[in-house]
Parts: sequence; C-alpha cells; structure tokens
Amino acid sequence: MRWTSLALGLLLCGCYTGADRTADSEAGDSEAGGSEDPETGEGGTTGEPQLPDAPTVEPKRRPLQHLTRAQYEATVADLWPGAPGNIAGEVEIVDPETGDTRVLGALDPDDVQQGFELGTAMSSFLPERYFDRAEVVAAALVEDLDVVLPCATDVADDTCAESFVSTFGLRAFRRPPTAVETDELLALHDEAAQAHGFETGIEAMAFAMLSSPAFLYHLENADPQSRAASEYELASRMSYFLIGSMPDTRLFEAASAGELSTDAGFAEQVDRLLDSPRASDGLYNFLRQWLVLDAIGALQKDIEAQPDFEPSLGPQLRQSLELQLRGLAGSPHSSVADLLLDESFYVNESLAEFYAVDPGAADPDTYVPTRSPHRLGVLSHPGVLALNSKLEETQLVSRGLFVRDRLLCLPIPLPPEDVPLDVPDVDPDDPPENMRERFERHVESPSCAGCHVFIDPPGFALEGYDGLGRHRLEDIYGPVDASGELTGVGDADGTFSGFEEFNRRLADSEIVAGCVAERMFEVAIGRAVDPDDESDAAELAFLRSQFASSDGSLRGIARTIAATLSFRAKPQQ
Amino acid sequence: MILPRLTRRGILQGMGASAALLPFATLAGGGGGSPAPRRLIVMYSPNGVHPSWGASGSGADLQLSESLSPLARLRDEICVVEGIAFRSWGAPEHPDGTVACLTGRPSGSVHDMIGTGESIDQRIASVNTPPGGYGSVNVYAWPPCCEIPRISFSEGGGGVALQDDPQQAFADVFAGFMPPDPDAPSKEVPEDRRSFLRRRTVDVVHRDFSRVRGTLGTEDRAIIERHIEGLDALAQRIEGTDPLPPGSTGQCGPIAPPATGDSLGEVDVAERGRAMAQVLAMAIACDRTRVGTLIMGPSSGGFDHHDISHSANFDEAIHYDQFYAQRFAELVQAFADVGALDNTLIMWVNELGKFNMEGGLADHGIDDMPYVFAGGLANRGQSMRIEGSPNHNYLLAGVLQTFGVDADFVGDEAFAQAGQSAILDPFAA
Repeated sequence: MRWTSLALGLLLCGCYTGADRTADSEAGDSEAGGSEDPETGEGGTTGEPQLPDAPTVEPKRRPLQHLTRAQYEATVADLWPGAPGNIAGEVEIVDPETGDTRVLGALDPDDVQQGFELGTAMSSFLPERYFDRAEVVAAALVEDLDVVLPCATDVADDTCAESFVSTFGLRAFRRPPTAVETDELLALHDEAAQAHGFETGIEAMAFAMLSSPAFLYHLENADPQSRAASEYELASRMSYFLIGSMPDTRLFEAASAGELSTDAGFAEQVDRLLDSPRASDGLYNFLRQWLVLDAIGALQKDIEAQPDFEPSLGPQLRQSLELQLRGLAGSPHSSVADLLLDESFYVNESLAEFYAVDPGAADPDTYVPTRSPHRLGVLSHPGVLALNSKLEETQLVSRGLFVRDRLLCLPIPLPPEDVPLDVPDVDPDDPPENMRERFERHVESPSCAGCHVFIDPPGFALEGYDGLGRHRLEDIYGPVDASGELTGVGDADGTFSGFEEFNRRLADSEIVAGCVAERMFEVAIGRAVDPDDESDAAELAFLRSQFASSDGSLRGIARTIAATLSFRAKPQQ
Repeated sequence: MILPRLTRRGILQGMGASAALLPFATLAGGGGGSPAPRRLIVMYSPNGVHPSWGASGSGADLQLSESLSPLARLRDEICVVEGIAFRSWGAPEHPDGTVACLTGRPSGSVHDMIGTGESIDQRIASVNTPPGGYGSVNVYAWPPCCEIPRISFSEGGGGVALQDDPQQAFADVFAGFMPPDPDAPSKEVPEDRRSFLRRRTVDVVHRDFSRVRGTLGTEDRAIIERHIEGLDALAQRIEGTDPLPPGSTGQCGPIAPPATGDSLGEVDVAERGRAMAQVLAMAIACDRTRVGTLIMGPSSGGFDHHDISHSANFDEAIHYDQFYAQRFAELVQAFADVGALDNTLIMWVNELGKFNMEGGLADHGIDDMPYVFAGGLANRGQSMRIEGSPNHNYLLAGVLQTFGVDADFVGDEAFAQAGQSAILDPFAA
C-alpha cells in the first residue's frame, strides 16, 4: 500500500501539495539533477547545465491528441494514487449501497503508426468512458477528503474550495486554471454543496476537472500568438516524453518560476528527470511500443498449423519481455547495443519448459532471469519472434521487414504492381531442399531480387527459431541455414554465419543506434518523421552526430531529442 | 467503498441482467410528421474476390456466381454492383485499400492504416445521431489479433476505434437503457445524488469543451467536435430523453448474444460475426445508433485467405468468398429478424477487387470492385454493371446523397473523372 503511507505522510503536513509519485521525492539519493554530465562534459565552464546546440528548423504542427491509454493510466495514478488501478482497462464498479455492478468498458485502443501510439482515435463511446472514469476517480478522491483538501476538514468553506481549485486544478490541467474555469468550478461546487454537502461540492469539481479537455487532451493553445511553447506546455511535453506521465511537483515549480524558457533551466529539468527513477518509466514506455509488447500479449496462432500454441502463451511472453525491458530501462547506462546483447531471458516454470531452458527458481507465477545460448537480446526473445511470424509458420519476410523497419529504419518500397507478393507454392515435381532454397527461387527474378536482397537476410538470420520462437536446428525441409549477407545498410554490411554474428553486426552499428533514436524522436514529437524532408533530416542528422560525444545510452539519446526545436518549440500558427 | 476491479467475464453476467431488463416493444413508424430516420450499416471483408465473383439478371432471373451462392435465399433483398474501379492510391496495397474504402483517400502511411480524411459513415453519423444515442457503433468480428482494419475515420483523420468483444459491444449500446413503456404511468422520481452530480457536471464539461473548440484551428477541431457530440448524447441520456423518437421502426427487444469462442477458426469467427450482427441490428431497432460498421476479417490476413489470393491456387478463394457472403447473409437476416430493414442501407465493401490475373498467379485487383447492397434503401432484386469504369469516389457520393448529404464526389480529387457524377443506380429512389 505505497500510496497509503504516502498519504499519511501528507496528512501529517496537514496540507495537500500533490501526492504524486514524484521524481524528486523518490530520487532522494540519486545524483542531483542539473549537474555536469561527467561523460560528455556538457554544462561547460559556467557550471550551468546545457543541452547540445540543435539545428534551427521550423517545427511542424503536432496534431491534437488526447492522452493515450498508457498516458491516461499513468496520469491518473500520479494525480490521485487512491484511484483504481488499471483504470484504462475494463473496470467493474460495485455500488456500495445496492450491491449492483457496473462495468466500464476499456478505453479505446489507440491509433498506431510505426508501432507508436497516437491519441487520435475516437469512438462514439469514448466521451462517456472518460466521463464515467472521472466519476469513479472523483468518488475515490473524496473518500480521503482530509488528505485531498488544502485545509482542515472542519474549516470547509469557500476559501478552502477555491484553494482546492487552484492546487488540484494545476495538477489536473497541467497548468493553472483560468479565471473562467475557476468561476465555473466554484459555481458547480456551490450548487452541489448546497444540495448535498461540502464533500459533494469537492467531488463535483474533481469530476468536472477529470472530464475536462485540459485534463484529457494535450492542448497547447494557451497563447496562440506566442512562438515559444509556454512554460507549462514545455513541462508537459518534457514529462510525458521522459517519464511517461504528468509533470511532478518540482517541474510545476520550475514552470511557475519561468525557468523552462531559459536554456539552463530547461536543461536542468531534463537532466533531473533523466537522473530520476521515473526515467525508467519513460524509457520502458518507448521500448514497449517499439517492440509492440501489447500485441505480444494478444498473440494468436492457427491452432491447426501450430498445435503446441496455447492462448496463455502470449500473456506469459509479454510478462517475460516486460521484465527484461524494465530491467534495461532501469539501468542508467543502457544503450541500443545493450538491447541487442542483453542475456537475461525471464521465464516462469512453463516458459522454461516450453523453451527448454533451466527453470532455476521459477514457479508458475514467478519469473526469473535465466541464460541460454540461444537468447541474446530482444531480437531473439520468443515473443518478438512469434509476433513477427505468420499465424501458421515462421515468416522470413515478416521478420525481415520488422528488422528493416524497427532497427534499420530502412522501410522497403512496396513491390511493383505486377509482382506477386508471396512465395510461390512448392512445385511437387521439383521440391526445394529447404526454406532457404524456396526463397532463393523466389528472388531469381530481378524484379523480386531488387527488394528481397534487402528483406530476406535478416529473416534468414532468424530462421533458427520456429513460429513460436523455439530454437530449432531443422525446419520442415531439413537443416536450417541461418547464414547470409547484409547489404545496403552501411556499417552493418557484411556476411554472417548465423544469428549471433548477425546480431553482433546490428549491435555494433551506428545505423541501428540512429534508427532507435529516430523512433524515439517520433514518440517525443508525436508525429512520424520524414527523412526526405529537409528539416526532419537535419534533426535526424543532429541526433546521429551526438552519439560520438555521448555515451550512446538511451538516456543520452532522450537528452539530445529534448534539445531539438521540434521538441521544444511551437509551430507557427 | 467502491470496489473497482478488472474483469472480462464479469461482463457476461452484467449483460445477462441488462438483456433480461429489455422488454419487447414494437415501435410505431412514421409518427410525428418527421421522416423516418435512415440507417447505414457497412460490412467489410478483406483480400479481394475471385474473378468469377458477380451476378447477372434481375428479379426472379437474378443469377448469382458460386462466390455469392450463400445469398441465394436473399435474392429479393440484395443489389449486386460490378464495374466500379477503386483507384485511390498509386500502388494497390492493403492499408491504402482499407483506408480508402469509405474515405476515397489513400492511407497517410505506406504500412499503417492512417486516415487522411473523413469516411462516409462518420459523415452520415455527424448529421444523423439519435437523441441520447451514439453516432456510430463500430465492431470487429475477430478475436484480438493481427492488424485490425480501419475503415472509419473522423474529419481530422483519427481512427474510429473498434469493439472486438460482442458482450462489451452489447453493454456499450444498452448499458442503462430502458425502452419507454407507453402504458406505464408517469411519475416524478426525486433526483438522487448521483444523477444530480452527473447532470450538473456534464453541463460544465460541455461548456468547457465548447470554449476549447473556439480556440482550435480547423485541423484540430474535428476530434473535439466528436467529443462534444458524445457529450451531447450523454447529457440526453442523463436527462432521460426519450431514446425512441417517433419515426423509428422495428422491434426493440431482448437479445442475448451467444457466448463466443476465442480461436481463429472459421466456426468461432462466424459465431462472433453473428453476435456482432445481432448487436448492430438491435442497436438500430432500438434507435441507439443509425450508423454501424462490422469488420469481418483482418486486412491482408485471416485464415490462409491472403496466401491464396496471391497464389496459383486462387480458385480456393471461392471458399472464402462464400464464407464472407454467408456472414453478409446473416447480417441482413439479423436486421430482418427485428424488422429493421426498412429505411436501412446495408453495404458490403472490400479493400481490393477481383483478382488481377497475370502469369497464372492472382494478385491485387482494383479495376472491378465487389459491392453488394441490401435493405430498404437499396435497389433490391437487381444486379448491375456500372459502365465507364467510374472510381468508387462517385459511389460513395451516391451513398451520401441517399442520406441527404449533398455530394457528387468523395475523397481525393486526384481520382476525379471528367464528366462523371455521383452513382445513384444501386439505391432506391
């Protein structure tokens, strides 16, 4: 009951100042933010923190988005730790008086682009789902009124209600409420308090704030005339990117003091958040989307073609990969290479049996990291392999395209109109000796080879794993040949004898590190980048140029992204 | 103490309780002097169709190809349309075809289904939402898996999320819903605390959204407007506005969607399709919505349908043509069962057309798209071939006109054809 003890602590203060899982409150013993980065020497001689100089570009419009499901979940948890957990999913409410149950349907799945979630999807049901959740959270909030209120409960008066609007409102809206908003909320409070008592007045205001556009949407229209993003807009951008949730208390203070519009103040907060334990939430959030973890949890296979598949496999693989990714995200210096070379493969008892590894201390519910010569980094995680296979079998092309897209950022142009898109069926009179040969026949035609010479090699490298991600030495045709040659991918080019050598080529490649940075950049700025666009290309080149002067860590990449104008500045209206 | 907790199967019990509460009510039609509201239902199936797909003749002489044989018993209820082209992109790919189905515009991304404009179902929903109801009900008949097709988009291009759980789809549409009983004496019920809170709060929130709307540029306004439409209907539900305006027809009665399987086999998918068809039919009969979409399969995936559609064994695709035709027949039947076919257009679309045959292999075709219409707003008992190979953008305009929305063309102007106007032949005058 983490939040209970936190709430008690606040109760002793007698004043509600924000019961969030603040980076600053938990980062007590971590290195102070804003200090000079020992790896890069950033910060210069003045001792002031400083981000690298980013190219001058005209930022593009960000489409208006609501909070994604993950952001909603994290934001509600930070705003009021007493709120029900897993609130973006289905929630069952039991009425305490009647015993009736109501079920709130899950929030809409987000739109997805390149695997990344965008808060642009909207069904006819979403407004009500938000409204119902606001009601539930507001009801939970007034159960702890003495913690919530910025005054003693026995002096519950108008001044106390006003104070609640300004303190809770700041955190719910991620900026101070405007005069109009404050008036509306206080009028609502008066009416509700008169009819049903002071507590209901507070509940009504919280209900309204949690249903409001300022809470639900990433609104950036406070001052359309201003070119600079406002202090509070910067605080929100920074926190949703770096910690995956709303700003913490210190960040609100910095915004209030006008610190974020100075380079040093902005850099200080970026560094503080990246040094805090919450940074691992932000990085995990990126990695979760990058590897499409949620889809792994919903893994489906054709039972007839994959008789060993059981529906419980997906959730277990998701849990296994989540633990690995959280471990990587939590380690301060994790780099892109670490993602590809990490040896910890988490298993519970049944995964250990299914994937033939030593179960150690695992039991059905306990996952432990184990090591296996066949599991090296996220590309060999069976969840990633199984997701990027067909329903019926492994799929060289799916896996090849996944590597091209997520690790190399070299999407393959679509085949010309007259080219068949799948492997020709096997000729019974002249069967191929193995899957490899079947594909090699496939690309004999120059029009196919043009693309497949790029797509197929990463797929070959992963042929040592079947459609459920189990290691194998043979496929239905005979011994597996996982050798190949990478071409057209710059510093990763070259031959490989199998997965391990292939994986090492990727881990050592700056192209791969640059691609991960590109994908993280897209998450940070809320839109896809276009490498053919001049200003996007300039910022991508900037991200790559910083690898040499940084430690190559994921946190270092995030820091560089925070310096770009696409992240910091506002497009022309 | 409120005890929220995650549950999936708990819905089944909650739903059973709701279903039991729905009395059977036959609704009078055409009352109140206002024209009966029109309803649009779209079913989508993937991967194109066999080259022999089609029909000829009309009335008693309507002949259906093998692919459409499951529709034989509904020959008086359907209109089969051939000859429409579907040139909404440079290269005919699945994501583009899916996004273009109802928008007439290609996807904003080569590999993802990203909307670039409003789909006709959402256009119609924006001017045709029942009081206290929902703009549209959008459902997916597969278990969560694979890339979920998107055919519905709001004006800003954001997707309309799909519900893939039949029980939840039912709960969404009918939660707290009670058809009015004309024989019940009216009585004043004192407002309880919860109703008071919800009623007052939704007003404040509505004003808040309206203020924000005024500060946004046109590109960002669409999503906020959709949110406001949702709040409008929510406020009406909270106020207890009669959800069954005069003019509705049909039988709003109890339904109990069958328990549905989670596997990807044909039996389970068909079962989920029937459950979703029932939810849509009842939602229409009870005037909870006037627009619905049913996505019957994943784009470029689903069984071995996609592989077959690119192979020399393309004749096996007739099996899947029939599988989806059977689903369409069941959808139409679900509407017939509750008397909701009048004033309704049921439209079956595909992301691709009849296979393009070259070198003995099937491939994506876009020259001849398969369309079937049903319901009282369709020119029923017909087959027709539209001459001149017009783009589907003109057919989408014909649908809009059928719903009173003025349009001669829908989508990307790059696909406009000189001299072509909206295609109206498939629709009842």
